[in-house]
Amino acid sequence: MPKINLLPGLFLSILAVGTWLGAMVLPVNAAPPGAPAELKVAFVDFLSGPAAIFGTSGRYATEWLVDKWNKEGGIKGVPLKLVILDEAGTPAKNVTEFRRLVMEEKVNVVLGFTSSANALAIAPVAEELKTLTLIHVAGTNRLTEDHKLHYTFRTSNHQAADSVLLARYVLKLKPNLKSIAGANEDYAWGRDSWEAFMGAIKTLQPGVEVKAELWTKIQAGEYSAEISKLLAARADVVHSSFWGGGLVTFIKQALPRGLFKQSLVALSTGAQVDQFVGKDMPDGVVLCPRATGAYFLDPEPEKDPLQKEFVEGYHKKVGRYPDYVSYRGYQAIGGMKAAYEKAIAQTGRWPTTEEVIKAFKGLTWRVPGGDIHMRAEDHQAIHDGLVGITKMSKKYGFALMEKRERFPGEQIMPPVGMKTPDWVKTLKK
Amino acid sequence: MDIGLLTIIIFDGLNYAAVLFLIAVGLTFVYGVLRILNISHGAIYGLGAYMATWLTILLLNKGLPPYLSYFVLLTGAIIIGLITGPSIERLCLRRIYGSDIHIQLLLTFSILLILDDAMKLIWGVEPMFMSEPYFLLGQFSVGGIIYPRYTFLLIGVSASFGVFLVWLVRGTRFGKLVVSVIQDREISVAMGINVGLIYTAAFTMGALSAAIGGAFIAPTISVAPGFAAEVVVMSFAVVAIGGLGNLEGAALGSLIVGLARALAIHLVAELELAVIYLIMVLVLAFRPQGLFGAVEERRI
Repeated sequence: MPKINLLPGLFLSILAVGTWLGAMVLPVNAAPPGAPAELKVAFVDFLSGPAAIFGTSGRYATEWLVDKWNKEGGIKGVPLKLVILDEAGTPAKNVTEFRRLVMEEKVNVVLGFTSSANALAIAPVAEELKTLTLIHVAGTNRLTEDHKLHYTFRTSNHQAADSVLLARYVLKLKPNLKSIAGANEDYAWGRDSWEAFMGAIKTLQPGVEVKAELWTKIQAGEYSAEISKLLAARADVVHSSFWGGGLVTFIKQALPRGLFKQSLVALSTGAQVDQFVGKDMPDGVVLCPRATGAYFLDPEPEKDPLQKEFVEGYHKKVGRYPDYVSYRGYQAIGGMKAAYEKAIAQTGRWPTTEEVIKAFKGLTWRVPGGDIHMRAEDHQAIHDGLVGITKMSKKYGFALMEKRERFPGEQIMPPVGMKTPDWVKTLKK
Repeated sequence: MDIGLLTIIIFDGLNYAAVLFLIAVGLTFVYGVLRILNISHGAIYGLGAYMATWLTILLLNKGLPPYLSYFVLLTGAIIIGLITGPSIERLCLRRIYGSDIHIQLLLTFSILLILDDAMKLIWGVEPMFMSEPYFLLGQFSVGGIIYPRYTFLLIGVSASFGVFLVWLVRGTRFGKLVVSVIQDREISVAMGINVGLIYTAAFTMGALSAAIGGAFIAPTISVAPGFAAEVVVMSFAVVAIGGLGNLEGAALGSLIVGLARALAIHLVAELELAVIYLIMVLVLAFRPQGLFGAVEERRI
């Protein structure tokens, strides 16, 4: 009888049992090789000052998501650690803080920046320090049109989308539009917003007269003379990209003076403040959640599980419904997570920043309200945008954005390689 | 320029001038008496706005008749003025009279930062809104342009406070004491005047003006940390134009800035921001002490 060697069989059996036991004991989200103990993410937004109503919304959304994901195992087993910082202050102060975050706090990713002036100042430093930086709200088109970005991405549509979306919508409401006027803040955001809105209107409806162009300081807080000028101008449509506390003040000061009755007022960030303005928001104001593809009622939470979970979770945490800044916060950190996960899948280990960047280019990720696509060429995200008109809701106690229209990203954002001022001249009805 | 547009410009200018004067008059009064440029003035303005807003919302929610909200605004301002005025003067400023101007600026700037953070600690960072007093009085029309009647109230409060201060300084015994302290502190002490008390009272008047300014602006804006910065910077331009330490200078400076801004907005909107500082530069270039400022003698 030949002697049977039992050793190979025994070895294979032990290996099989061991693998099975390992699979039973180890968590599904076992960290990939080379994974750090945590992924340190800085979130920078206005937490004080008139713009705080922006920053706090983005912060709450980001915190809510990070809490949720950490309970679910983080990014492939690596928990996320948030470092929260106030954006209030000058671009110079923000650049200093950015350097400190990267060099002293050793954060892996920086996410945030609402002010266009700050975003424009931060991008070159992010490139210099080779730090993955995701701009979530800042709207100036110049960020991705005038700069060659490698480490910086903008995870939402830029202001051209808001302006063109508003132009298309007001022309639907007022097909015989004859005149427009604008009141905007005197810096990159305000100037670019007005230029794009005015350009789009003039292209789509040749012959429209511009009756007034007003420029205020950022968050000026006193608009009585500007409102007088707008009333005297008697334009069919008044455009404003005022935002945060400044916009609330503008609405408060304009309401008793009849501006909203005299002209159709179109506010590119209006949907963000309607919960704060409450019962003082008049009906019939065109509101835009900055060409964001989600509103807390659109898509209907009951029909979109991601939306339902976010709206309910956010409301429970904050006591308000998510606004567009919350959704843009979601887009940014959601994009970061998706890029890391894609890079891990591609490399089979914890990725380097360069590998995450490679994964981010051309990435499409899902958020409440639809898909976000990151263009590989200019690091500019593109997505649907919503717009609507106010109607007071007794149920909610504030004006809702009704008669909503959803515009696809391609209709409201310039294509790669084309600058906004040139693109708006080519628009077609 | 037609009369209608001119009327609108004058009215817009007066409206903004009223806001600026309420802040600038306290700033200039404190400098006139104490010789201290009080940077923390802006924070007291902010505190006045916060206290008035918070108190009004609280009492309106408890069923206060809306018309009484104006008294609540005033009460909020008085509370802030009477708390911050004496405490800042007694605890901090008293120690640095006669010190180098840099020390004074650093100290009052520190107080500004501390009070700014105190506001965040007490009322949080999210803006507060209250508009009942603003909407309650209805509207009127000037040159076909609608204005809220609250504008009259603002102008009235501002003018009344200015007249009150002038009367206080020129028409009362307290005013005579203030003037004697300004002229010569040592002689005043020798004559038995309680200079410390005069200083406290003068600083408190300045604090009250800032707090009243904040309280009556509050219904027209969203009150949030840092909201005061813009208007306070503008009030510094006002006192620079009018002459530091001069009440008439503050009034004229406010009118010039208010009207110039309104004129720019209506006629050359691009110059809205530049025009104010252009005036300031011109005034300082030809009259560094401001339009009403007195030339100081060189001591040595």
